[in-house]
Formats: sequence, C-alpha cells, structure tokens
Amino acid sequence: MNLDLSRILDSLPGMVMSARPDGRVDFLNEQWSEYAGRGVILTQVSELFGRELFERWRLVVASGQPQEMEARLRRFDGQHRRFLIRFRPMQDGHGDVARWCAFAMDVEETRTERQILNHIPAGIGVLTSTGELDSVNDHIVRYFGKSEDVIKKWASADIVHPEDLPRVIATIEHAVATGEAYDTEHRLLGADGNYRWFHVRAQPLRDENGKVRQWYALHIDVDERKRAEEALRGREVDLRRIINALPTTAWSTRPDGFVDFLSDQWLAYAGMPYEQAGGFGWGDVIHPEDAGRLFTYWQGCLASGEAVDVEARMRRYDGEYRWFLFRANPLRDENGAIVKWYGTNIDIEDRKRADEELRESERNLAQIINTIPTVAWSTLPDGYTDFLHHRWLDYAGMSAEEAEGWGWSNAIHPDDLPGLADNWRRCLATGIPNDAEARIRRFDGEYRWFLFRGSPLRDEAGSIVKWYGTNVDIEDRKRAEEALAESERQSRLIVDTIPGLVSVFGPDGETEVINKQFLGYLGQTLEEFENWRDNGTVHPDDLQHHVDAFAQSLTSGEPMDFETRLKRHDGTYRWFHLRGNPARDPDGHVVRWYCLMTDIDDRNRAEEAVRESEVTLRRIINTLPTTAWATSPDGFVEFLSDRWLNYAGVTWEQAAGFGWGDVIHPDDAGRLFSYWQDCLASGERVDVEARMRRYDGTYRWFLFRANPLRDENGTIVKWYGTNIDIEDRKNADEALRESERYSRLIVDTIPGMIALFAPDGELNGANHQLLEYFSQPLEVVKDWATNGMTHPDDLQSYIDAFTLSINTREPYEIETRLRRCDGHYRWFQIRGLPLYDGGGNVIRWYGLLTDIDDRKRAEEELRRSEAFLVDAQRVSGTGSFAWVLGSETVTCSDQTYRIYGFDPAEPVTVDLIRSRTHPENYPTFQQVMDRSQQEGSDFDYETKLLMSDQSIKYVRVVAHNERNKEGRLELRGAVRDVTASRLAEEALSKARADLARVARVTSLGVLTASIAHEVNQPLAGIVNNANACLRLLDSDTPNLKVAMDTARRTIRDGNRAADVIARLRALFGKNPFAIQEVNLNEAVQEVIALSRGDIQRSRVILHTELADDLPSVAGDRIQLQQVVLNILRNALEAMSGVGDRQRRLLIKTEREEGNQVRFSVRDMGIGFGAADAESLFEAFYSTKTDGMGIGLSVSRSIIDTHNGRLWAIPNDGPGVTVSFSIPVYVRNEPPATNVAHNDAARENTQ
Amino acid sequence: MQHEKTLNEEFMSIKHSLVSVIDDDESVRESLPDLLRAFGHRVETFASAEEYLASKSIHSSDCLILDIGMPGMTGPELQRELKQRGQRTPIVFITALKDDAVRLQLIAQGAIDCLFKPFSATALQHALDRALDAR
Repeated sequence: MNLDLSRILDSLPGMVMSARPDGRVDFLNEQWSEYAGRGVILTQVSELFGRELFERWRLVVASGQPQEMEARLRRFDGQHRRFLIRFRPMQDGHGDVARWCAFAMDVEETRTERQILNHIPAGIGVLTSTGELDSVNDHIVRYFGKSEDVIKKWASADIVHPEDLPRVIATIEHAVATGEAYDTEHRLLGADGNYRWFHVRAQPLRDENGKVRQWYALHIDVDERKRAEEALRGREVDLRRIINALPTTAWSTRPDGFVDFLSDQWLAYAGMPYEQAGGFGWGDVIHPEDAGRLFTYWQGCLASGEAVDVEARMRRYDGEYRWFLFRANPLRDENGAIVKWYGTNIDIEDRKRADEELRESERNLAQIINTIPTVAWSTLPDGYTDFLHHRWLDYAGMSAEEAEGWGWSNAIHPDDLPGLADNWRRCLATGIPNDAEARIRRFDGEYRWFLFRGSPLRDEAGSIVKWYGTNVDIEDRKRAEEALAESERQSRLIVDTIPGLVSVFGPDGETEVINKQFLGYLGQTLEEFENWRDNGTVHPDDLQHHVDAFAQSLTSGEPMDFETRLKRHDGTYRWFHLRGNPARDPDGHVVRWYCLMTDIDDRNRAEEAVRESEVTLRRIINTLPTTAWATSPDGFVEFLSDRWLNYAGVTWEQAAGFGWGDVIHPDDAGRLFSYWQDCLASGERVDVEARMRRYDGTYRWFLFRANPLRDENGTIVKWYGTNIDIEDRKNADEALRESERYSRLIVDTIPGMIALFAPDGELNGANHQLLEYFSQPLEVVKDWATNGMTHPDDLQSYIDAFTLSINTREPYEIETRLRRCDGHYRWFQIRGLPLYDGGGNVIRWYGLLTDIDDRKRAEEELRRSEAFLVDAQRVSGTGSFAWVLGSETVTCSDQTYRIYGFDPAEPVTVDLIRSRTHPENYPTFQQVMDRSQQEGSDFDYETKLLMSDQSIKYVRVVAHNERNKEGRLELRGAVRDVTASRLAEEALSKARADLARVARVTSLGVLTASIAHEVNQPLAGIVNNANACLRLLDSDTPNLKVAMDTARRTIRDGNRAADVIARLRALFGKNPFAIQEVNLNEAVQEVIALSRGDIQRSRVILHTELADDLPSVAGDRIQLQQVVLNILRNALEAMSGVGDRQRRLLIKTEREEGNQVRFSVRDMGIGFGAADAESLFEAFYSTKTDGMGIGLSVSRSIIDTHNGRLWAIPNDGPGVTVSFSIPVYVRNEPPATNVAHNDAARENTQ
Repeated sequence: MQHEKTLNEEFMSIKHSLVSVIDDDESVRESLPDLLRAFGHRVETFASAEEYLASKSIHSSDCLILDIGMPGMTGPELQRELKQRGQRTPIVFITALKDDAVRLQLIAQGAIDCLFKPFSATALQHALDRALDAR
C-alpha cells in the first residue's frame, strides 16, 4: 500500500481496513490497529473479527456485494464495543472484486439512549402512540419534584397551569389524531411552587411502516424569555415612538432575523408598506449585487450575535439605489440570550467614503437633543446643593428643604447612588465636569432615568465658585437604550471618541449651538461664529456658494448638502462636507437646523493626488503585458486595464464596480467573491485562482493577485491587482494530478506488480503483489541489482536499459527473469514509465512488472511448432493462407508463395492470385469468391495455375470460412501442389482407356452380349417401324406420308445395324496382350491410388494387407489391373447403400499353395444369397455406360486367360469377398502371346 | 344410338390413354410413337429417366414403356423412384439385352412385362392392354 495513502487512511476519523478478494485482511489503519491492539496478526481474521463477524464476513466475501452490519469488535483490553461496519468491494475493469474495504464506526454510545436522555439539559417526556405519557427523564422529575407516577397523570395532577391545561390536552389529541409534530407553550408547576413557562416540542417516532410508535416531547424552560418578551413588549411601544421621531431609519427583528418593526423613515424611503417589508420582505429593496453578501453577513451575525456593521445599497421609492450603512445590535436578556435585534440604516450614499463622519454626526445630533436642559440645579464648590429647579422638586415630590444639601440623594435609586456619588466627588475634586446617569424616584415612587450634567463656574482666578447643572429625563432614551443595550453602548463610544463638528441653527439661520469640537476647530466663540458670513470662517472662494446653499435650504426646507472650506484656528482652510437636516414641529414647520461638518480635506487632497497619479499609472498599466485592476477599499472596481477589458471582451462600463463578476466562471464565482470579501475585510493580500470568460466564451484559469495600498495611518485606500493567465499551468497540474490519481488507482488494484522509483532510479516503493512475489521487505528488494533477484544472464542488459532510461528519461521496456521466493526464476516484462510534473521534470518512475513466464513458454512452444509447420509445409508441398474478406492482402505462408511462384517481397492480393489462375478456371475462381461471402462455407476444389513461364500447375485448395475473433469473415485454408499426381492421373486415365479397349477384345463370349445389345437396338427400330408401317397401311384411310416415313426409318435402322457389325469387326484388329512378369502388389497399389478419389467419395475406410514376400505373377499387367479395378468398384457400389455400419474394405494379397498368388477384396455391402454366387458372374452386368462397364463376367474371362480363378463367397458377417488367384511367374516358361494360347496354358498348369 | 354412344365413350377413354416412352436410343423414340399412335394412344417420349421425372407427364401418364439400360438413372432405378413417390403407373420394360433372369426379376418387382428388342407389335399391344387394364 502506498505510504501516502495509508497516511490518509490513518487520519480518517474511523477504523478502516482492506482485504484481498479472498477475504484475507492486508491492511488496518492506525485507528483499527490501535483498537485491536498492536499485537494482532492481520492474517488471523477470525481473531481480529471475532467468531460471529468472521462467519458473516465469509458470507460477504462469497456474495461479492457491499454490505453493512453491526457487530461487536474486541478491543485490545478485552472489552467489546459495538460497531457499524460497512464492507465495500472495489471492482476491477472486469467487474471482479479486486479488493475489499471496510469502514467501522463506533456506535456503542448510541445504545445508551436513556443515558443520553437524562443528560440532555432539557426535560424529555416519552408519550405512547395514543398520547399517554410513558416516561420522563430525570430533568422533568427534578423540576416537578414529584414521582414519575404522579407526573404521568399530569392531566389531573394540577401540574399544568389551569389556564393552559385544556389547550395542552387539545393539542396532544390533535397530534395523536393526525400524527403530526406539535408545539405548545404552557406553564408547569415547579417543585418550588411557582409556575414557569415551558416550550414543548414533540416529534413522533415512526416504525418502518410509518406508524407512530412513540412521541418524544422536549420541554424547554422559556420562562425568562417569556418574561423578557413581555417586558420588552411594553417598552417597545415607547421605543417605536422615539425611533420614529429620530431622523434616521430604524428597525428591529426577532432573534431569527424576522423583521417585526421598521421605522416610518425606512418605509417612506423604500416606498413600501410595513406589510410588504416586514418579515423578510425588506430583502426586495436590497440591490441584487449586494443581496447575497448582505444576507450571508446577516445570517452570520444572527448566528454569532455579533454586532451588524455592513454596507449595502437599498432601493428608494423612486427606484434609485443608495448606499446605506446597516448597523444593528442584539438585545440580550439577563442570561445573555438574544431576544431582539435593533438596527438602523444610515444613508451614506453621498459620503460613502466618509461614513465614519456621518455616524459621528448622527450621534452628535442625538447628544445635542438629549442635552437640552430641562431641570437645573446649582451647588457650592464642595457639592452642597443650594438650588434645585422647582420642576426637580415637583418631580421628586420633595420640598426644597428636603432636597437641599445632600438630601436630594434620597431620591436617587440605591443601586445608582454609589456610582453617581463617586462621579460627583471626582468632578468636585478635579473641577472637570463629567456626565452621569442615575435613576431619580418620582413622587409616585417610580424611578426614572436622568442625565446629570454639570459644569463649574469659575472666578477670575480660576477657582470654582459654583457648579451649575441640569438633569435631563432620559428615561425614554434609557428604555430604548436598555432595549438597544449593546447597540447604544457601542454608539455612545463612537460618539464620544469620534471628532465631528456640529452646529445648530434656528429656522432663520441664526446660530444656536456649536459643539465644543467645532469651536475648538474654529478657535472662535459662539458669538464670534455668529458672524461667520463675514469673518472669514468660510473660504472666500466658497463663501458665495456656501451662503447661497445655506439660504436656499432655509427657504425651501430641503436638507443642506455641500462642500465648503472652513478656516481652522491656525488660519488654514480645510475642506468640509456640510450636511444639515431640518427638525420640524408637528405642523411641519422647521424649528431648527442640525448641521454636521465632516473634515474631508485630507481625503480631497489624497483624492486629487491619486487622481493625478492614476492618469499616469493607467497609462503605464495599459502598456504592461498583463491585466491589471484597482478597486476602492470596499472592493468597488475603479480601474481595469485595457488588456483586461480586451480579454473579457466587455466595456469598462460593463465591468466597472462589481460588473466584472459576470465574467467569472459560475462555479468559481461564489468562492472567489467570499474570498475577496475576506481579503477586503482583513486587508490580507489576494492570491486565489478562478476561471474568467474570454471574449470568445471560453473560460481560462487566472491567478488573481492583489495587494492593498495603505495610507500613512495604515488604512487601506486602494487595492491593486493583476490577473495572470495560468490556464496552461493549470492544465498541466490537472493532468499531473489526474495521472497521479490514475496511477495510484492502478497501483492499488492492478493484478500485477508495481514498483516506484525515485528520479535517480532508487526503488522507493512497491505494491503488495511485488513484495509478496519476492517475499522480502522493500529494504531488501531495493537491492535488486546485487542480491540475485534478477537472473544473472539478464542482469547486465537490464541494468543497461534501466540506467539508459534514467539518464534519458525515456520509458523503457525489457524482459528479464526474476527469482520468486521459492527460488524459481520467472520471466517478467518490466515497463518503466516516468511521471513528469508540469515543468517536465521526472518526479517518479513507475515500473510495471508483468509475469510473462507462461506467455514466454507458450511463445517458445509456438516458435517450435511454427518451425515444424514450415518444415511440414515445405515437405508436403502444402502452403497455408488466410484472408479476411474484403481486405486487401491475403496472408500466405512461405510455401504458398513458392507454389504460386510469388515474389516473397510482394504482398499477396486477391487480384494477384486471380492473375495466376488459369483462364479456364476463372469461373471456378469467381464461384469461390461468391461463395466465400457465406459464413461457414467449406471449399475443396482443384484449379489450374498458369505460371509465368507458361507452365501449368495443378493445385488443390481446401478452405473453410468462418468468423474470426474480430467477428469478421475469414477464409483460411491450405493449398497443395498436386501437379505430379494430376499428371499421373491423366496418364492413368489414358492407361484406363487403353485397358478398356483391350478388355473389349478379350473375350468373344462376353462380347457376344455387347454385340447383341448394340445390334438389337437398331433391330428394335426396324421392327417397330415396319409394324407401324403395316398398321398405317392397314387402316381404312392409310396415312401414306407417315407410312413412308416409317419405311424410310426402317432402312436407316437397318444400315445402323450394319454399322454396328462393322465397328465390332474393327475391334478385333487391335493388338493382343502379352504375358509378362507382373508385381501384383505394385499393380494393386496403382489401382488403389487411382481409385483414392472414388474411395473417399464413397466414404469407405480402406485397409490393405499386401504380403511382403509376394512373388511376381505371370500376366498382362493392364488386364489384371482392369480386373482389380472392376472388383474394387463393385465392392464400393455394393456398400453405397450401407448406412447402418462402417463401410470397410479390405484388399489383400497373399501367396497360395500350388505356386499361386491370391488377390481378394472383402466388402461389407449388401451381399447376395449363396445361390446367386455363380449367377453373379453370368447375369450381372453393369448398367453403367461410362466406358468401363466390363463387369464381372469380363473379369472372369480375363482371369481365365491367365489360367486363374475368380470367385465370390458371402462373408460370415455382412458383405462378400471376391477373390482371384493366378499362377506365379516362372522365368523359363515360354511367354504366352495371345488369346489363342489360353486353352493350351490352362492345360499346362493342370 | 344409346348403345353406340356408350361404346364410343368407352372407346374414347381407352384410345386416348397417354403412353410415355423413355429410351436413350433415338431410333426407338422415333419408331415407337408411330406404332403407338397407330394403336390409338397419345404418346410422349423422353430420352432419360431424369427428363421424365422433371415433366408433367409423371402425373398424367397411363403407362410407361421404359428402357432398362440408360445413362444416368436406369429403368429399374426409375421404377424404384416412382414407387417411393407413390406413383403406381404401370411399366412395360424394353431392353436390347436378352436376359430372362432380369425379366423375371423385374416382373417380380411389379413390372407388367419386359420385352426384348426387337419385339413384335402384338407383344407390345398385348403388354399395353394388360398395363391399361391394370390401372
């Protein structure tokens, strides 16, 4: 197993093993090994698995199917734990199991459900299918402080609040009836005697048929939440009022993000009724490009409880989108659980770059409003209160005397008093005023929150002579603050720390308030500032515009919004962004203007500088040979190089801002955008890959690289990035990864041996099969070159090839013998293949070792048999060929080339064969070509070849036509040169003709019959014609014409008869035969050779028993052969109808007593009765008129002339034996010269 | 008239029997039809047994005059073939080779007669009459 792979398996959070197809385990991962104990031996599967699982494992292996089961596995310490084990077969290309894998998961814990139930920090009740309470967990028992039996009778046990009881019962009944999950909230009586609210959520547990088996009811104590909610509900009413009065949008949501409040401003902005925007409907007004990001962010906040601070565009009622800052904080109950979210949306469209200032302005505005004094007081320098506004006294229900001095502290809430006192003491001690908040008891006993704000009055010497202060009722705000707890606190922090300039003007533009920061900036007093129009506060260049815009807003009531330069105390002018909103009374009249001035000077300058440098930069960038881009700190794309635009084939307008996202491959977009958001948030440099669409629609991989540009303060002012085309590198990487993956798969599943080599050739890995073959560890196999594993005869050539390959980095392939663990060398084909990385460097060599020993042997065997075949073909004059129908060339053996006289260098084609064929045989050739289209055709034919020297060759072709492995028709066969035998045959036919002719003159007696036949034919004609003629003439109306015809034919047939006689006479003129010395065996073998074709056609099995020491006989060789032939043919004919037994024929020659030689033919034909034995020779006559029809009677007469004897006897079994015997040749015997000697010869021998 | 008509019908039915002559010898094929027509029969001739088997006459012949020795299928072989096909057409064999054993053998195998060439018109007519009666 590959080391990396096993490391991966080891790191899996579960137990993994793998086994061979036969079920033997060959790998356990770390977890399993540890569980089973280090000592466990893999191969002892029964011990590893335990008896029970081992039996089941065997069944799994036998089935070859994936299975899943629970079983107990023994741990190293002897304990058993329950596991869910999944067995899965890995199949090879043939669908056979190549390997088993198993994954075991500890499920012991899930067994102890009750334990878990009791550990859940919530009450759990189990209900029967009918709604009966079956059992409860400890949690519930503890809560009620009653026995489980009592709790089970809950409906009558007074533990559910009477107001809620009917509802609970109805809910459960409904759930039981419908089988649906249910949810209730009701009060339960605790052991302490108090009711608490519980949220009960019950789910049905169903059996496999879907029938409800049980109900599980989860009881969650929601009492605090419920109370908090109730309290909140009350506060909300006030809050809403306040919020709607605020010059900003506000909203609140439930903990799950469901919007349950939207301020009037919000609804007015969006132009939506609450019904439409409430809940989640508000999402519709979010800019589509921002929506995904915003929702994801919002979900994250809901989950984490972190404050919301995000920007997104919202659609105004008129369809225009404006940027808003979304800010929200969760409100938490005492336990820290979120009960609500409160948020605001701040319009930052016009000053998106200056959102910090905007926030500050909002806060300042609020502060101003809040600090408008209502009740006032004064104290002596030591804090002794000498004056309290009468309203204060009215409020607290105190007399001046009661409140004087420190008496007022009695009205302070005890919890707040220490803090307030501390603060006050510190103020007195330092002389620095500090606001404080504390609750003051109203006359009716209710506490309300107040802001305490004081400032010291000093004399010329700077000594404090008095403190003056106000108390502002901030109860309402405080409530809101409580509701918005976290949010407020945070905002306040911002308010207190962010420098912003605020001024308040009356409806006619008279200055009412200027905050400290503003005064500090101007270095003016409020009085001095009142002349701002004339005293140079506003830059002369901006003054006119400033005054006009100011006046215009005062007249129209439109908000102020312009930029202007204001003089700082040191005389320098700085750019400010001025924004002012009118506050109106209920009648809609403007009562006051609140203005916020944001210092945008640095930014303006920076912007200008940047703008300038950008022009040059852009020029440079567009000439760079790479794409480049720049974005604002929030990711808004402000620049894209021409190259980028050209690549994507989009215009700047299309791609600017966030439009570039469209060219990102959809599969990569989500990942890229969230990565980009993260970078924007963290300021970390961008280094990510994604596909971008080219102008032609194809996607290419790009590396996105970007760095933030920071100002002196380290704030990001811009992002600059480039996209680098890495498509080619990526492809190479992909290919590499793919090849690596593929290789690994092969290594693990291939039924061969795999070795891995480092680039320098060192063996550094091998698969299991390889190590098993050598039965040696990798460390030993490493030294393959020296430890005798490679056969000594092959070693050098292997090392040479291997070294060459390592040096040239070319793949190698070599065959070599490797010693198996049992000492046998087997042949292997070793193929080495380098794996390259993207840069073309070899990172690994794969060596595949294929056992080719059997193949090698088979090859040798084949080579030997091939050599035999070649010899056999040459010796027998037989060549072979094969032709795939329709293909160009015919594959021919060397002998075939020789037979056809083809040039061995030339490929043989069908046309070439045809050109060699004798023109007479073209039809045969064409027939063969036609028939070869039929599958399963057999061919056996002879054809003549016309050789290039004009000589004639006879060849016999035997072929068969069938489908080859590829399913194509292939004609395979053999060609044999039969010219020699064919010529012999022709010579023999000629001899046969001679023989026949000679036979015809052999016996007058026999010829008589022939003559009679020949003559009787015309005689029959004569008689018939004459008879017909008579009849015709005898008729009443003689048909003379026909009669004359018959008479004419009579004459003609008469002449014909005469011709026959003449021909017969001619026969006698031929030469007589001579008695010679004849080797009968040779003569017989010649006849057999001639008749081979007949014998085969008759499907007769021929046996010969020719005596070795047979003496020569005296006779006419041709006549004797004629007789042999005749007997042989009769025997074949006699067996032609035999189908129920073998057609055997025995030809025998033997020496006989009395200087005779006997020849016999034993057939297994139809035979004849004993009585017919003699008449056979007389009556029988061949009905065949093929020129050889001499018959047994002629044969007998021939044998007679040889002083021999011819006879036939029926066999014991089926068939007949026909024999003749003739005398042995005696040298001094005077040769017989003609038939006339016959009688004399016979007399001699007798 | 009545009697005459019946006779005439009977006459017609006899006289118009179809006789097929099968012989490889041309002189027989030329001479026999005239004689047979003179007897009042319709005649068709065939040069071989195969030719006859391929013809329509195999179903319509009333009698066969069949040569024994012919190239290809012999007379006796045709006799066996017809028997196998269920054709019971009466056969009168003719042969140029006088062999009484063969004649008896053929008659034993169901032939009407076997006439040795040259045969007389009377012997032929006699054999034909028996053949047509035998139908």
